[in-house]
Amino acid sequence: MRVELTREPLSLDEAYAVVRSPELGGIVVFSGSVRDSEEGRPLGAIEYEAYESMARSLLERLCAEVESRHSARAAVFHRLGSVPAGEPSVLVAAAAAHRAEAFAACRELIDRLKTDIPIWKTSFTPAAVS
Amino acid sequence: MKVRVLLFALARQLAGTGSLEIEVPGGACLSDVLADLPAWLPGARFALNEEFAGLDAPLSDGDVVAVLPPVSGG
Repeated sequence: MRVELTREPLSLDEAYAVVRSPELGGIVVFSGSVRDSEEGRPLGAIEYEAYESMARSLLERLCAEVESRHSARAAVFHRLGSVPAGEPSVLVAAAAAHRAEAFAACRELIDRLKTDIPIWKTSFTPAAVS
Repeated sequence: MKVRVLLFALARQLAGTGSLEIEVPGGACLSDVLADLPAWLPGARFALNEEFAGLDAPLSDGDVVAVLPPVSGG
């Protein structure tokens, strides 16, 4: 498993590479990106903050549970700080022997991340960002 | 007993600080430290030493409490 909280842009290639393994035939990567509008208003960027040490340990625990439950390999990358519209703020990857478990693992990771991990967002308009 | 309180997001904005050190009597629990704060932050959760905890959680010297508004990561 791999968990990373970083202020650097996220890499789809890295998320894929960290979970792949020759015996695992199915790899699913979910990318959550900052959209360019929110409730009809233009969005310039989203700023993410975290209780980093707690988020990291809870994410590791979440990955371990998901890996065990779905016989999968799991990875979560979440960006902190300012993420411009159009760029990914989170990448969640899961690899398993077959697609059913890979999809289920990936789904569970992102769903539980969004409800149980101490990370918060603040939205900024394009004017605020420029 | 000395307890550190960390505040995040809206909690930090309301309190005006992200970190406080507080003196509490022996036998105190989380609700003694937070007093009215939960009323100001509907849906907030609390952590004690990086684990979610209820308001009835007992405190020890050196504990780290955190006030966590509803999360919005991902």
